[in-house]
Amino acid sequence: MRNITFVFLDLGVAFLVQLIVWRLYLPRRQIFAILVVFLCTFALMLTVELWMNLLSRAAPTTIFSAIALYFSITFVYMIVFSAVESDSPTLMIINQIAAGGRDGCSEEELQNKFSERDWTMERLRLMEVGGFIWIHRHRCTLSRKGWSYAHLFEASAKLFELPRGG
Amino acid sequence: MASLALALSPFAALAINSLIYLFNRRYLKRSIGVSIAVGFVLGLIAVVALIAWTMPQANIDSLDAWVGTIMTYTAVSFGFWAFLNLNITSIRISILRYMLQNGATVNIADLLATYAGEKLLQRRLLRLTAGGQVVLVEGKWRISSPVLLSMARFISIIRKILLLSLGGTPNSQNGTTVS
Repeated sequence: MRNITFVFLDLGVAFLVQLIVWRLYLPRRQIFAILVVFLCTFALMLTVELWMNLLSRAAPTTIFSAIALYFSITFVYMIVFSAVESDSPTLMIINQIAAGGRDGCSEEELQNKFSERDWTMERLRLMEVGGFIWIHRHRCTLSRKGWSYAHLFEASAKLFELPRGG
Repeated sequence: MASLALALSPFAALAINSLIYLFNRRYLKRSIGVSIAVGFVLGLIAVVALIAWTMPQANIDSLDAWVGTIMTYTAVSFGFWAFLNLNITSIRISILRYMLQNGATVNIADLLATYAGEKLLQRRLLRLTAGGQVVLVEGKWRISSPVLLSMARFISIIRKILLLSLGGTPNSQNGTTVS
């Protein structure tokens, strides 16, 4: 059996497991939960495949290629899921302008639509839930986790010459 | 040895991709978009060359070698692009960096002023205009490129499929991805 067949079979099973888990209990940290589900499913499927001697003739490097393909697609799914999970202000702007069709969209319409949500406060709450910051008495403080991520992004912005966006 | 080289080729190509990006960005002073595109294309050429070079000696199915390896490279390159893109566009990452630069503790009022809705909107419109995605014509904003619109529609479709499949709302209050 080809690597690709194994990988897509395992991904399909992992997605089904995710469907079942999500219907029983919606995880608080969905992206992390996806990683756990896909990792556990892969470990289980690999064990079954090895036990059934389906991979007995596969070289270790072939198995490594299959693992690499599986987890790279899993990470793509996690990235796409995170975009689906929380609304993007940029895509909201694009949708709003597109909704205007040939007439376009005035600045005022765009501002009114954009200001329907408090994007910054929403993000701060998400960051607090995610353990990146603490909010106490109208002040925000970086947690250790937030501090580590802040340094990572600061260092990568300097390395890759990226502006501080937002 | 050939099998190992083939297995590692997507990651070697990703390394080439990121080095080409750095060269274009830091030394040739090209834009981020052009640097990413050039890096991806040259990385793709590298992975194709590595596959062609190692496959004859590697003990692997040819479809796995070509399709599997290129898919892995494309997926990890997408991850690299997403990482760069998030650094530029993400409100949360920007807030993290702002807080780090301001002693790790800031007033919420200062944050809300720095990241006021109007400023967020204008920054995005500036980026979208510079990227050729939207254009202001006689006081009205219009779509000038279908790229982001296609992405927005694709994400809407995926959201509907996931909502139907998962039987609930992808709860934005529970998300922890930094974006």
